[in-house]
Amino acid sequence: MSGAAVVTGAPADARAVVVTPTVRRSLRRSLFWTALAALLLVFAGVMVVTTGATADADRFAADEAAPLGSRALVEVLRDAGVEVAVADSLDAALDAIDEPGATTVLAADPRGLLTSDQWQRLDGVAASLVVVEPSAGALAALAPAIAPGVPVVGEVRTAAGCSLPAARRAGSITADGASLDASGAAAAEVETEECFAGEGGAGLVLLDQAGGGALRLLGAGGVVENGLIGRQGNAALALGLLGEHPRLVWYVATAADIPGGLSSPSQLYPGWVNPLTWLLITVGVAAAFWRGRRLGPVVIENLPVVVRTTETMEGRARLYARSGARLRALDALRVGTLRRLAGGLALGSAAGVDDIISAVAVVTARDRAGLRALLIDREPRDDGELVRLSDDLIELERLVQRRVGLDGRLDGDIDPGATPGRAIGTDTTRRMER
Amino acid sequence: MAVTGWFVGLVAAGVVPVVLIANGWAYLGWVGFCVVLAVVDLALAASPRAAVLERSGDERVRLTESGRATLYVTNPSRRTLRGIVRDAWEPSAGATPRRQRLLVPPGERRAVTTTLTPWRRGERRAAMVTIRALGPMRLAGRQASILMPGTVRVLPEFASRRHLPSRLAHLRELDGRTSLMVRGQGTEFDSLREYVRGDDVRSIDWRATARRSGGPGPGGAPAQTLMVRTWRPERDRHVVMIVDSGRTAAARIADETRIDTAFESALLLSALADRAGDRVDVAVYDRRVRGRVQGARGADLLAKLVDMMAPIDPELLETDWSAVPGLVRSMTAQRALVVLATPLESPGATRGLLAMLPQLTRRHLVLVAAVTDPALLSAANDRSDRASVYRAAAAERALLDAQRVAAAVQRLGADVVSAAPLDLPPAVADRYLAYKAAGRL
Repeated sequence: MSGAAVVTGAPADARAVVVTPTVRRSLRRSLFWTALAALLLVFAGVMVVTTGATADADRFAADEAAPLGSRALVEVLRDAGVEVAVADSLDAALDAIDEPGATTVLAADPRGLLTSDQWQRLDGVAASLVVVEPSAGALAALAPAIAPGVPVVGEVRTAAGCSLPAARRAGSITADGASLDASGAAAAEVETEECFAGEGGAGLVLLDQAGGGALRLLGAGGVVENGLIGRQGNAALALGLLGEHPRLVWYVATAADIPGGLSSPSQLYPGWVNPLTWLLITVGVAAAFWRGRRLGPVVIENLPVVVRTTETMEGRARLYARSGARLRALDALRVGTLRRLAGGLALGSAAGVDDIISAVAVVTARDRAGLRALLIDREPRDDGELVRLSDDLIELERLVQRRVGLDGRLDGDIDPGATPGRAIGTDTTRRMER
Repeated sequence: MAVTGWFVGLVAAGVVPVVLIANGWAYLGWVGFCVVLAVVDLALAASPRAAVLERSGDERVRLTESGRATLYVTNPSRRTLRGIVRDAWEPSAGATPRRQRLLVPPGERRAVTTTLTPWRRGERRAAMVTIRALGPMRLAGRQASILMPGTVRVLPEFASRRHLPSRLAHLRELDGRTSLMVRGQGTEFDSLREYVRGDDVRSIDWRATARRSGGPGPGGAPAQTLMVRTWRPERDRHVVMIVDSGRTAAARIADETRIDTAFESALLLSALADRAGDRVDVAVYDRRVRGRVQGARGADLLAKLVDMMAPIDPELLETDWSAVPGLVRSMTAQRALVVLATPLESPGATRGLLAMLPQLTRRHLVLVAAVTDPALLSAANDRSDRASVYRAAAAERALLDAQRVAAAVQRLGADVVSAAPLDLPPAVADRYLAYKAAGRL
């Protein structure tokens, strides 16, 4: 059906209302949030720069402010007048030692990068060499008599048990880190002294370097960490150990110490990989803008409410089932069956139950008592019996249908308003012939 | 602002220089080059905001049929407007295609035609038109959505009109246009005509026959001409149909809401009664008169009816039946056939109807047309397991309720016709024909 061509929109010369904001308007609208995001970015940048804390902290790093770093100790030592030189490679550490007699060297290798040969080079380089959490390689190179002990977590050791003044001043320490087993030293005829001994080994072992000078193996590495240095006597021990001499070389092994000279993984792949990755990310962002820009807003439609008619029926069925109203449910089925039987046997609406039973008994040649039990008297004791009785009712209806020869009449064709006018064809002709 | 797939491809083509030069600057340079090109393209694109739009097209579409909506895009600028246009219709307007290419040279006008195949009755609206104008390199485009309201009225389907020819044939049988001429109760004397073989001998009018032949002439008996009376069914009766648009009409049975079924019934009955020479008035009512067609005849009647019904959706209100007798009184002064299209479900929900009915049945012939739910019957017949037996019991209970309500309505002197949604319109029409044949109107 097509009507006349009628302009239903606004007249052509009217000023059109544009919904899409102009670039200037959308910029102005988003100004606040853009400014806020920029402010947050600047704040985060400043925080990272000033605190030096990063997500994956370097253990024992001299400029690391995270709990695992050692910045606190280094700063205190500097304030106390100790000249601290930070080295990030073995060569730099050795270069930094100007006066071996007045220098303490702190060496740590938390990532296990150094080989025994490299450790060997540290032997005898300074008046005092402090090795923090020595690895098996370090022990083999510097103190073969000492064996690695059991790792210790959260244990406080209160007895210094050695002659080192710093240890005696400290009194007690947290022994977090590795412990050292010096039990083999006597057999090897090496003079050692254990401090903060406990189960599994000592927290600190004092002995001499083979090349001359004192060697302090600090198993309890937690003593120099930012996070633990404030506990017990940790600070006293760390300051005493490292502040012994006016100069301190703080050396933590890095990737620069790996033989072969590769200082970063980026040297392993070609130079275009990084720019290509950035380009692909840019392509992805551009594609997101391409596909993500919709062609105008969604049109909203008011939908009419839709009600399902069988909801009441389903609800009532669930109520029957939940409360186990078997008799009530069966009675409803019986009433329906009786209604259809009365209709099928042309008994009329005034027929009573007994009339229907008599008629059915005549038609089906079944005894009236059984029919009465099925149609009226029997009470189902469980759901199984209910289903059986329901099946019997259906079967009875079908039997009556067959006997009466009204197949199909009872199946579904229930018309509450069925009156004689329904079959119009036959009915009117009959009336017209009258 | 929008970029195209070409732009993304251009950025991706940067793989070649980036790999060849193998440098971060190559990446930055390429991306900068792409951005510059896109900005230039954007600057050269025609402004979609300047486009002048105009709508035309079909005002009415029958449900299930298709109409056309045409949008004229005028480009007043000096640049070619090329790109994509979307005429944003409501989803149920069934607009295809959703987006179309557009190329309007400077100062010219182009038509964009959208085919509408609505799947819901009522007023279907278009909200806006979105134009994305691309630059000459097709890398980037400017986009604007312009409010451009448009409507198309979707009329009821009147699917039951396929039942009309058979019912009209039946009506002609009643009407004396076929040879079968029967005198029945409620028919009116139409005319006298000569007897032809096949006529019912009972309809011979002997007095007229005698008058016509004048008596035996002198030259022997002249050829006798038998006269028969013809009858036709009563005409110019009044049919009033009240369609209930209250909350129960919103229920959906077999993928059709009750109100749609009622509308189908009303349309079929109106078409039939109008041909039979009766006056048909239709009102849609819940607590107020939502729509009313009175005094229309012929082709005008159906057009007015579908137009009146198109935008009406059921209200979630209880129908106020107490005002219906007054409404019927305002529509007809004489005795009429009043058809009430409303569900007969539970005694509680029909209390208002039952209380009102005696006022109507006292003066009028009242027929209640109710939709039954085939799902109830199938549920009542399904006894396969425990859960379905309980469902069958609940369905039997619902059927019993419906029957009790129907019996109550009949006791109050009204007739009831109830059938499944697809069968109700022909059932109502048949009942009307039966009344007509029986002269009960």
